[in-house]
Amino acid sequence: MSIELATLAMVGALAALLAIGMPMAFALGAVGVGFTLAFFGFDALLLISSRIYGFVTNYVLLSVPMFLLMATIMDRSGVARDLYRAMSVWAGRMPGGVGIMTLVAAVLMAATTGIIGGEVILLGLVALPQMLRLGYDPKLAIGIVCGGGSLGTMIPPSIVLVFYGLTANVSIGDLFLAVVGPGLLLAGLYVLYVVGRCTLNPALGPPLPEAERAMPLSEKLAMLRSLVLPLGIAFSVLGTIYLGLAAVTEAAAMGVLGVILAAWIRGELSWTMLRDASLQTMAACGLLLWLTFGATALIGVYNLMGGITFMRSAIGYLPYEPWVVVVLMMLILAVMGCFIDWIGILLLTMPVFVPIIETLGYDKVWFGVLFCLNMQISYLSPPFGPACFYLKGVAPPEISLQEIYAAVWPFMILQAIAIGLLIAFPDLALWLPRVAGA
Amino acid sequence: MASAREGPIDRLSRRTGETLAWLFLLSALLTGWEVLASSLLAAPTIWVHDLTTMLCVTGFLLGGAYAQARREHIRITPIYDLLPARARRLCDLASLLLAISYLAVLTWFTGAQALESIEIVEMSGHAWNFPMPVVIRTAFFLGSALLLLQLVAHLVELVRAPRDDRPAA
Repeated sequence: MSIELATLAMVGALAALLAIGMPMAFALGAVGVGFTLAFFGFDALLLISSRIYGFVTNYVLLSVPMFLLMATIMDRSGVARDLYRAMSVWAGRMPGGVGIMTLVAAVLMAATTGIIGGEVILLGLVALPQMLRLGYDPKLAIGIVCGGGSLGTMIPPSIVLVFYGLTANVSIGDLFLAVVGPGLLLAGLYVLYVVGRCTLNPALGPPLPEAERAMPLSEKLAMLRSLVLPLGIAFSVLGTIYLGLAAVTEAAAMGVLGVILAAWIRGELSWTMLRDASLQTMAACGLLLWLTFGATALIGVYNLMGGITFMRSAIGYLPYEPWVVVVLMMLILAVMGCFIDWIGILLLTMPVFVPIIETLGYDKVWFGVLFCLNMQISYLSPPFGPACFYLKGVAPPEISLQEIYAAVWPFMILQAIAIGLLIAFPDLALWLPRVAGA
Repeated sequence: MASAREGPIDRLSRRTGETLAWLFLLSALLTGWEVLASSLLAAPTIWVHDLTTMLCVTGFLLGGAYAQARREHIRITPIYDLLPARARRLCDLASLLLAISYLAVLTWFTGAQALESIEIVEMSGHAWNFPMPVVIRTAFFLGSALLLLQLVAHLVELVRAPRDDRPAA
């Protein structure tokens, strides 16, 4: 069978199995193992199993359960809720002020968590009712919550970048430095958008009423104390990485200790809390890892058949400028993002795309940040937009999923603008690791 | 999580998951302690690194069955959701049968590897020379086998469910 035909057969089989609703982990594995048995025989499974063995025993992978644990304990504590309250009192009389403060709080929360989900839920429970009560345009408020809440993986730490680093063989520390600029740029674009729309039409984001603004400055400053714990947690992770004190897994463990300490200080620590957080981590690890096994089997056999080399020459030598190829890749990722979860996209496309990116002379760290930015779109894009689903779960019942999807598209445009800027100016990402490494 | 229809296999996956879930917290605490011990007390250990790897990998491998018991494995359902109940049932049947074949091959293969590893007492060859590969390969086999059992249990449940299981809508 020619490699073109084999590629089509593989993609077709996978698409068919996914369409009938087969769990992705098993669909990938079944196609991978099926092709291995059909083309190479039982013994070739050894190659796949040794790839999986190498992947799971990589010490960096251990940071994944620890980041998950940190986020799940964090979600169960009141740390983030207090942080939101402390930020929102600073909104003042500025139009859209509470919305902007929501975005600021979202960035700070993102520095203590590497996943999305918890943050969208929290903002949906706390920030959305607050903005709706003030008479915000519901669409603007929903967009702020979904866009801001998804920043969890765009501000380090980020599980998306950990998996990218493992797949593309790049330093996680460099990725965590490189993503800071683009992450803040994206948050900045959101803020500009909110300011712009509320300046043109102040009715979209009314300020806090006089009575609530009257809080004395001393009280507002006292509320800033609730920033101490989250900033301490963020520092225990990012500080130890950036200062070179610890590798990513050790830093993640420090984060778990930090968040447990914070919960203890607040008197919220309990066995039930730790147990529930551990169980959620267990289920999340089970699904992430088994999906990885399946994808490793599929990509492993595809590589054996010469597929990676084929794709590399097919895409890498397209008669276009290199940046056009990158834009094409971004489009492919964005389309896949409408249907597939980030982890599936990453495991399936990166083994093909990253070698091409290298052939074209681009930087792998830069491409990782681009990927991460692209996945921001996938969190919002219908029909499978996890951030929208999370919000639907906690939003007032009169807000439908359709309304949420209708509200998030301006934020998807902002994400696309950020991707464009990063393609045009790679230094937005690469400047910080270069300076820090010097 | 504990549904009224929980069978013995569901209970096994759930209890295994609930017990092993603590391994991640334990690993985080051990690693945190190691960081403090090596930086503050200048007393690094040679075994924390490998031990935490074994603990977490065991959790990863056995977690597949736990996620399946909770039916949390990621699926893409826009097309599936449009289908009538009967077609959905056929889809479920097909995907379970196929998943079971995949896991059967995997269980067979990882079982053979685990046996081989146990026979020769495969060592890690690291500073702390421990039969780490034996532990991981055995966990791989047990994780696959438990997931296989769990899938079979779900297949039995599906076949036994009344045929006119119409959606609530």
